[in-house]
Amino acid sequence: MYGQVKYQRIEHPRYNLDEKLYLLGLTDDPSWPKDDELYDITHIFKALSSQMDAKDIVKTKECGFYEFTHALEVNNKKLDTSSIPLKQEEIHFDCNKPHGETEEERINFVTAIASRLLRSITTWLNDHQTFPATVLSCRYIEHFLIQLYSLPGTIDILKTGDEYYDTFLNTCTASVCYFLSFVSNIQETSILYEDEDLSFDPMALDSFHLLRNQAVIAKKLEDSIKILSSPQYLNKNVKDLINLMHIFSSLIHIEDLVSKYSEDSEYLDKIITVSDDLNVSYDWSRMPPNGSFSMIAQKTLSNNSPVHSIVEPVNSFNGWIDLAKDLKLAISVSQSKSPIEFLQFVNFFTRTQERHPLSRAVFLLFYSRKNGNIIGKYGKNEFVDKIWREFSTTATAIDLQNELVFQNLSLVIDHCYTAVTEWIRNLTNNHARARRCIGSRIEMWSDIETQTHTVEQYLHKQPLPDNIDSAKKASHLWPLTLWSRAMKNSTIIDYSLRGFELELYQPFECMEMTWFVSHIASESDETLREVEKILNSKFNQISELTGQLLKTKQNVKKLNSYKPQLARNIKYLKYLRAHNNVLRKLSIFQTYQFGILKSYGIIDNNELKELPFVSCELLHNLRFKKLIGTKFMKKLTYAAFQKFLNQYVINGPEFQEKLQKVVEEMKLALADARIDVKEIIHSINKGDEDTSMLTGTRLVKDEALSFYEELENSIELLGNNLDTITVSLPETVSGDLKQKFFVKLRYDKGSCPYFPILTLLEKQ
Amino acid sequence: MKITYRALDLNNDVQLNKVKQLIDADLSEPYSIYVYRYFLNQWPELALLAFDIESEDKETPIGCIISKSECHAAARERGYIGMLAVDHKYRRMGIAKNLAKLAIVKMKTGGCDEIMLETEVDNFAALNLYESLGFIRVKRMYKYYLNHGDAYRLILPLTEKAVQKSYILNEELR
Ligand SMILES: CC(C)(COP(=O)(O)OP(=O)(O)OC[C@H]1O[C@@H](n2cnc3c(N)ncnc32)[C@H](O)[C@@H]1OP(=O)(O)O)[C@@H](O)C(=O)NCCC(=O)NCCS
Repeated sequence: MYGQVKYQRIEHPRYNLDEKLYLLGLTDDPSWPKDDELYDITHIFKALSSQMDAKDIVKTKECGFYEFTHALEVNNKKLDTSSIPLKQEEIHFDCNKPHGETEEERINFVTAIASRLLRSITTWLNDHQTFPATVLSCRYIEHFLIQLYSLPGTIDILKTGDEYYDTFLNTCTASVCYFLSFVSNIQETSILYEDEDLSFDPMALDSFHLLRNQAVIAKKLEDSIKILSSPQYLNKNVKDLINLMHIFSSLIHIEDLVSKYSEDSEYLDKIITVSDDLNVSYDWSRMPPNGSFSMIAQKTLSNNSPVHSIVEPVNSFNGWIDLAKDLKLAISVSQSKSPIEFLQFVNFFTRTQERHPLSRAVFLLFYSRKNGNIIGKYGKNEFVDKIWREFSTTATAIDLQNELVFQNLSLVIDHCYTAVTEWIRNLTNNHARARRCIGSRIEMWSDIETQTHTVEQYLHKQPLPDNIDSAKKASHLWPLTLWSRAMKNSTIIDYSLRGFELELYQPFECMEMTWFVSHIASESDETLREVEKILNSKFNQISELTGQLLKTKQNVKKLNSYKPQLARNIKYLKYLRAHNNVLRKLSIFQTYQFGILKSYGIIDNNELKELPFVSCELLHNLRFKKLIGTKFMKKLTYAAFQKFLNQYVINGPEFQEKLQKVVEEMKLALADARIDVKEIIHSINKGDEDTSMLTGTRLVKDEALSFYEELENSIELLGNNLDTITVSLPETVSGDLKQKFFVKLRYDKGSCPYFPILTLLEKQ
Repeated sequence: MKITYRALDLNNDVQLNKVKQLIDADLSEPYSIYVYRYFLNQWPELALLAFDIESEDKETPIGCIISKSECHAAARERGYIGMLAVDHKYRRMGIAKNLAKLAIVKMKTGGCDEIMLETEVDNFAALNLYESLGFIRVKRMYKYYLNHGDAYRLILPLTEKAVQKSYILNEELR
């Protein structure tokens, strides 16, 4: 089904005069245009159109493809916003009138408006609804923004003569409008995707940009809270309003996270506690005045979006708790003490859960500072160097203090910096976008591998001294090549497995994908072993040499500083290998599982081969399109794949014996994976203290735990499924079992979506 | 019942209105007349209709597929299925599948290297249908539709060009 561009941003307000007059409150009829102001051109139109052929297209130069396909159709109820029906109470709703006869009524009305407005914000941002169907449906927001054009510099917009409206509601509205300018600025950074993450069409009402004085609004909110908390209001029902005002008050400070790189999360905590409180105590019987939330803005403002019905927010403040928690998590990255912690933060921040779009944007703007600094700690070179050193380059010839090495690596550093920051950005996207972006970067990692290898080859030819024993020449190690290869491999694995999560693969494609992952994971393991070898040899070399080198104090100091770093690296490598091993073993298991089902003729990786338009080879190549251009894919042709996959198919005599062997193999794979997962979980729980592994997950403990616990659950589920399959299938392959069974991919809650269960089901 | 298939007659308003009705009835995406015209006026031969010629209303289409074909990224000819719908009374009889097959044949003979389409992630009827023709899901797109539904993009590769990266093809052309 063809999807359309949802709307186009209008940069400047384009009201016609009548609309403007209405918006300024100078006329009271928004149903522009009025009949007596129009000239009937029907007859001219009909006369002209009768001369046209159905094929003719009337098009003007100003009307490009998008306007052309997206032009709104008059009288089409889904598209024509001018046909939105309005009730009298909406048309005549007056923001400059105090609604409510008694003070109590006015308190209730103002509280209900403020409450709904707050919940509309989270409906908009958390639930990805449109701006006009949520926040802009509040007449006070619309009114405030319109008035701001004519009254720039002031925020005292409401003039009802009643304190609840003119002071309290007015301040809340100002706070929201201030927050809108922050959201708009975020949107302008293009970090978030208009259609996928954040739908913000202010319908040309962008006066929120005129609100620049945070302190003034903050002060007014503070004063309002003070007033409402004073003895004078003690017996009035304003507790909920005070709580709500605390959220409004915190709202305007979210901006500080990116404008001042503030690490202060006090006001985020306030949002959480107040929302918790409101969830328990808020009086939901209060309703806002009739007409105060309306679709009128969609009808009267410059609007080329289709009709969006108002989305009623739910009776809960949980949306605020979710937003505040995600923001808190995003800025906690500044507490990372090492690049490993930083990278693991990125790895797990959105791994098992889509994070709030604002928190993802805030994270990116927060970690990468305007001056190019990373979380206020590392400059570009230092950042890259530290990442390398935490992985493989410690105590090797890749020492940026050495002028020759630095000169030769400066371009590589630039490229690696770009690659790593791109990777960070890619992972921070929503999951669907993340996979696409990760896929687009595989070739880049492959290029970086080639580039680092070339530089390292060159450096080996130079007379570089060994970093530990300067009397010797540096030995031929490939720490940078191995680092970039490890990054490439993990990127490919991530890209491939995320396809399962997004449910992109059909059951028949599983075998190719899981075999491929297991293959890359095997390569990855080899790479990690190589690195481990370097680290161990350096560690041993230092242990052996320190005695002899005591003569120069400086050398001893240097060598002693290497030792803890190398020990860390070895511990980290252990984690990386365990992690990789879990993915590898589970992928092998899945490949075997498919192989069994294929051996029984229930499913086949080439099962579309009989279809008229289909070439299995083309389908295969399409699936691996992102990898074309990488060296290893040249060897992994379609034919090579088939050869490898056939090794997992059982046939010939002694079928049962062979099957039993395979089942044993599969159980061993699961057992292996289980041991590693448990060890990782243990290390995470212990904060890497006194553990064999360094997971670097201190800041994302819950997130990392939830990932590995899901894997642990998957291991159990896959094992159970194997048992079920083996009892469901006959002893020998006989008859057309494809007529009886089919295979479905099952995604159980609490399990890892990278390894769905190949479920055998009987056909009805 | 006997079903026949033929291309849309652009000058036949009854056909056009019925096509709109069929599509508006079930597709969540609201299309304006301009969207229909965009497809139909430029690629009328790729708009195919199904008729039940044994029914009383034998000139009224009971199913339709609307497609287009364009050069993509200066590298390959891409066929695109924009809309497909079958009247409720005629469902599960293979009509949509026949319409899709006919459109694919037309696009293939017209030189398409691949055929692409999008569908809502929870439209199992459409997914089953297209996947049974050999389409595979190449990407998921969040909130792709106006109703905020996610979409899958599906592709059926027809020639080698469909599986080459565009920039590689462009380099080869140069
Ligand atoms: C999708 C649609 C066009 C299918 O039309 P149809 O003529 O009933 O489909 P067919 O009879 O040709 O079915 C072909 C295959 O599609 C799949 N399919 C069709 N309807 C299905 C359903 N309701 N549930 C599951 N699978 C279905 C089946 O695999 C079917 O093969 P089978 O009958 O051998 O099992 C029809 O349901 C429709 O008009 N839906 C609303 C519009 C729409 O969703 N269009 C697609 C948007 S991209």
